[in-house]
Amino acid sequence: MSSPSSRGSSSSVDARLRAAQKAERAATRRVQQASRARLTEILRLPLRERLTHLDDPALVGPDRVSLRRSLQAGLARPRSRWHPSRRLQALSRRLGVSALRQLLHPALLGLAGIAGVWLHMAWSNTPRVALSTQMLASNVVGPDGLVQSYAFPARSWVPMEQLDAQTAQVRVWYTRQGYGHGAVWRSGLDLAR
Amino acid sequence: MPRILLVAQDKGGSGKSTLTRALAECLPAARLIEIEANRRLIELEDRVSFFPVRAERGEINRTGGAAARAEFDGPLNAIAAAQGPVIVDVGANTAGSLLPLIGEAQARYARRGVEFALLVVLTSEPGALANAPVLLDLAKPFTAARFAVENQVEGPVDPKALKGFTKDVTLTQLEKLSLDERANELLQKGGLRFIGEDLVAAEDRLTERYGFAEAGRIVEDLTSFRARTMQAVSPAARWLEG
Repeated sequence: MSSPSSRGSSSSVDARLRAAQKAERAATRRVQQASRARLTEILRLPLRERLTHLDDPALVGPDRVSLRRSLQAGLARPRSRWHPSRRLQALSRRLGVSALRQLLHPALLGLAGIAGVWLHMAWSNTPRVALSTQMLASNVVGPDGLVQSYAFPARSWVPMEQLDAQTAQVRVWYTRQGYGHGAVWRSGLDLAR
Repeated sequence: MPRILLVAQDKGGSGKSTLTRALAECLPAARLIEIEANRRLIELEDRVSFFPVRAERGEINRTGGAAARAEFDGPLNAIAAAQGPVIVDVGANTAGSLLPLIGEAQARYARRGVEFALLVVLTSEPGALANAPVLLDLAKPFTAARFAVENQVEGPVDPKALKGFTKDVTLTQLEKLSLDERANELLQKGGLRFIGEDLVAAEDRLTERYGFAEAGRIVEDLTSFRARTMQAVSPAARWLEG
């Protein structure tokens, strides 16, 4: 075999290696610069046109990410300032579910039922009232069974238990005794109020 | 004193020729011997002495190695005649036969001042992985240095397998690089020499043909590939340089 060619200054392994690495870095830098220039051009375009450049082959990875972020920022729906944040919405949703679960507790449902019956009884036992247009006299049967004469003054509220064609059944409260019941002429009442 | 670096792996497709090219790039003064069925290092032109072998494992087994021995006269003579650094690309299915012959002739080579080293290529392919320690053992008696390059082209080698290498084997890695499709075509056509010598000049033509952006990527991929393969073989290249 013939002798190898004479060694020049570039024959040093380390020098060759350094040159190769330098060439690698330079090539990478050129591609990055070209990509950055392309990205700058694309970012000047309107949003919809920018979309068509998502797969632009001139863009290197980081610049592609920058483009995608610019699109995400541009396409995001504007939020009202007063609109609750997602965390707040989630919290209220959680609290709502929790409150609903507590409301459906059997004890609470039982109490609600009792309260309903009580309210119905109270409502049924509360008489309607009408304004007397004149003084109204009535024979009232008191709680002790005795009949007493009672007069409703003119322009006073008369509690009615029942309204008939000619008369109105009324009641009168006797302190510490209970209600007495009687009747007055319907014509003496202002029922329009 | 002539230094001979044998690049070996009996399993084909492990990247021997690529690493041989990287060594040639590291050391332009080195000559090359290619022992292969077909010539591959074409772009290195007259730096290469090519010795064809019919390295079929079946035939070697049938003839008890005689067929291979006769074919190795050419490269063995070329090694003996070396006067400077020589890289020997030992083709697939050949190193297992060639290394014992060199071992037998070691004393005669030593009288001529010839020193040997071995660079074995490792991949995660089981055949290549199993062959590497065999070759390193075969070369141990007659080599001044032994190197191994873990070529991760088929994925990283199991670290447990790498632990088996003795401390006197210098191990380096060549990570898997994904090349642009057209960059790979150019690499196959022109080898690393084209990248080192002609790529910058060819960039304008590439730009005309493939556009500015793709041409840039091709150049980047190829220069990166060249630099990293050179880095992987640099310990062996330094030994060869002496």
